[in-house]
Amino acid sequence: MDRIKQEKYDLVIVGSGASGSIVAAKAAAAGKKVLILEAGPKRGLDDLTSSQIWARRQKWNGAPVEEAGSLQIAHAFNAGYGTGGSAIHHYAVWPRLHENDFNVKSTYGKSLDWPIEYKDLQPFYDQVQSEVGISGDAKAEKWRPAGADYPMPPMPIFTQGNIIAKGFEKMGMSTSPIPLAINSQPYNDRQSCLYDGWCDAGCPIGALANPLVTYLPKAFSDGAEIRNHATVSRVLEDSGKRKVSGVEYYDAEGIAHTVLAEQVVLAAFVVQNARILLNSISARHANGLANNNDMVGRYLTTHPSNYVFALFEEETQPFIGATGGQIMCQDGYADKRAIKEAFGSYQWLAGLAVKPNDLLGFANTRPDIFGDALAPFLKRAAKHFGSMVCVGEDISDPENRITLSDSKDKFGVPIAKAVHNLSAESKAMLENAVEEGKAVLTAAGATETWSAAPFGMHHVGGTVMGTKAENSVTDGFGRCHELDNLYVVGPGVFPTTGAVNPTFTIHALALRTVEEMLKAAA
Amino acid sequence: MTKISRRNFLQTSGITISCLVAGKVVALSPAQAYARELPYKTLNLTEVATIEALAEAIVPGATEAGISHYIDSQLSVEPEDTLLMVKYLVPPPFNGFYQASLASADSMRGDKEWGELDKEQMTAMVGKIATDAVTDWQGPPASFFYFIFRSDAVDVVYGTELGSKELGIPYRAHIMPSTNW
Ligand SMILES: Cc1cc2nc3c(=O)[nH]c(=O)nc-3n(C[C@H](O)[C@H](O)[C@H](O)COP(=O)(O)OP(=O)(O)OC[C@H]3O[C@@H](n4cnc5c(N)ncnc54)[C@H](O)[C@@H]3O)c2cc1C
Ligand code: SF4
Repeated sequence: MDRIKQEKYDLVIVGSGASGSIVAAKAAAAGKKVLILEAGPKRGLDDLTSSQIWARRQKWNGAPVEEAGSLQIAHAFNAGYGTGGSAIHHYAVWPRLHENDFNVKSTYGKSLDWPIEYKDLQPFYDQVQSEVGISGDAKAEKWRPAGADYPMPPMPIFTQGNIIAKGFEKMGMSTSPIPLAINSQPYNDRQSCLYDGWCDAGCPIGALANPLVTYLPKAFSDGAEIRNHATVSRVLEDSGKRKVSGVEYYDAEGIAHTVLAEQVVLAAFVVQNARILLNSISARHANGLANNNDMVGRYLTTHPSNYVFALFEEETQPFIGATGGQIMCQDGYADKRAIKEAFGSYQWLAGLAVKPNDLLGFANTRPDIFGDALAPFLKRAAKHFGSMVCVGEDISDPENRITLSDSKDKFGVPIAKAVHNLSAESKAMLENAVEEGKAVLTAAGATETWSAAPFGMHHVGGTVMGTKAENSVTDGFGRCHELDNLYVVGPGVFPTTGAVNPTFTIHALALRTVEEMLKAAA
Repeated sequence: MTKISRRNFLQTSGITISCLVAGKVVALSPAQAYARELPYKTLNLTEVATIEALAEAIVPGATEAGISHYIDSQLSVEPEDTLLMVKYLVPPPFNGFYQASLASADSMRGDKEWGELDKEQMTAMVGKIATDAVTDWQGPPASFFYFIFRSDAVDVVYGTELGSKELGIPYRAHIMPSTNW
């Protein structure tokens, strides 16, 4: 395989998803010559076909990941591929982390502390919220940490949401509309939501904040370039210095190229960021870059999660609304030790818009039903179904980790291996939540309730930030402790998961990182 | 930014099976391919018979909706282009997953043809597969195969505009897939 190109940019960004797109937009706006290398194909809004079968095109199609452990991270389901990354078809549930998520180790003696606090991130949350647009009701979110009010009113609560909200109320629990990065009214030249539940297939009308309508257009209009089918295999060390010189990538034909850059940002999501670093071996870095202390790949986490489902006598119209849901409850957030022998905050997202098919479709919630019984169940569920999902906090454990496998991909690069086990305390937290969820649905009038097996929602960790190279991969800005011009963005840098969906925090942190990078470059 | 303000106004190229009809290449949906008895690219006829018998017992209507052509067409493309749900759950290639499971299921019918088994016998057989109660099952766990295969059959029968209609709910596509499912 020949190395046919050697080009030079101010900044090379690996990955065009949630984190890479905001870095690209801000750096390009500051006049930097920016190149995004994206492993997957080019995608535009007109690729977002409304079909749960078609939606599978957007999932991870790169090198497979070997998985092990009692709660696997389901890489192929949770990772995206192509322009916009996983964020192209994410559900836009955008709550903030809470203050108590930043000091879990010092408060509870387990997991990790962040090297920054909520107040360091708050201005960045506020800025992203105003640039992207979030619909929500800050007052109704009685658990919400300090921050500017949402720029748009909340999304409407439809029948399913109203029915389930009554169940929470009867149980003495609070709910609010979910903060969604979806337009409840036209915002920033983007139209409002039509409440048809196609978010998982990708929202082609631009109502949902995916990178194709938020930061990528800005990046491109300010001159950033993107190269698709460009799979980065290694970051190249600038020998003898605490610096990197660029990256190596393979094009669709398997030809290797080198791109030189003043600064490099890894934005290839949790598993691939770690894989690239581990594969970046040199004489001085026999274990890979930024890995002198064997920290790369460690503290792989996910949100241990569980669905609960119900059928109601009355019609719930479960096909209406956004896929992410309608109402939220974070009563289980403040005290991570509230339940005996369990650990971790959790939140409920309820009133999810559902389709009949695919992994999360309502047909698959009862795989035991088949034959003549199937059609009557599906017809009933199509109109009377209700669902909610508990998003739980993981415990950051160094033994849950990403390493390199002995198997190689088509370019000869070792594939990643991801091991994730669920702790007994997290399991207890989920079991308690499932009972609570069923009780809520019963209180709401459900005629029957059931649950699914626990699963891992979102990928987090693997390149965590911290105070020093001995306990982490990057500093509080996402800069690798051991290399002055190599940065990591995305949920991989989170030391802990909290119990909220990560993409708002990904944006806020990446914005903080790029501002620091621009200062460092100046 | 590309703006799409009206529903259904973009037609993308759909999941189709290409074939020669009167000297012209035409694209057919799996249901149309089934109706026209198009040849299979990857599956053999024993596998097709097993797919149709099992799928019909699990999701009635799956045979006519084109389950065998759906699976055949999606196993005939590069693994990264397949639209089968299996891609979330097992590493590629996917042919072995289906072929080993189908061979195990096929051996459950003994000397009988699929058509000779009555509804009760088929239901009992599916029940065994779903609960890992098959002795000598080779390949991926039977219940795991059942889960994925049932989902494939649900895809072709209910994952379409027609399927939504059958369930009495609106499909409300932004961008309609150009084949019917
Ligand atoms: C179904 C689903 C629903 C979700 N819903 C929500 C939600 O409601 N709220 C929320 O907060 N989060 C949600 N998420 C999670 C969210 O999508 C991710 O956390 C987020 O997109 C991660 O951002 P990222 O920039 O790190 O990675 P991504 O957005 O995935 O972007 C990474 C990009 O890097 C590319 N890449 C990988 N390896 C390489 C390489 N070697 N070379 C070049 N490019 C490479 C990938 O192809 C990809 O395009 C959801 C995810 C899924 C799958
Ligand atoms: S429900 Fe709203 S955000 Fe989701 S796809 Fe439809 S229009 Fe887009």
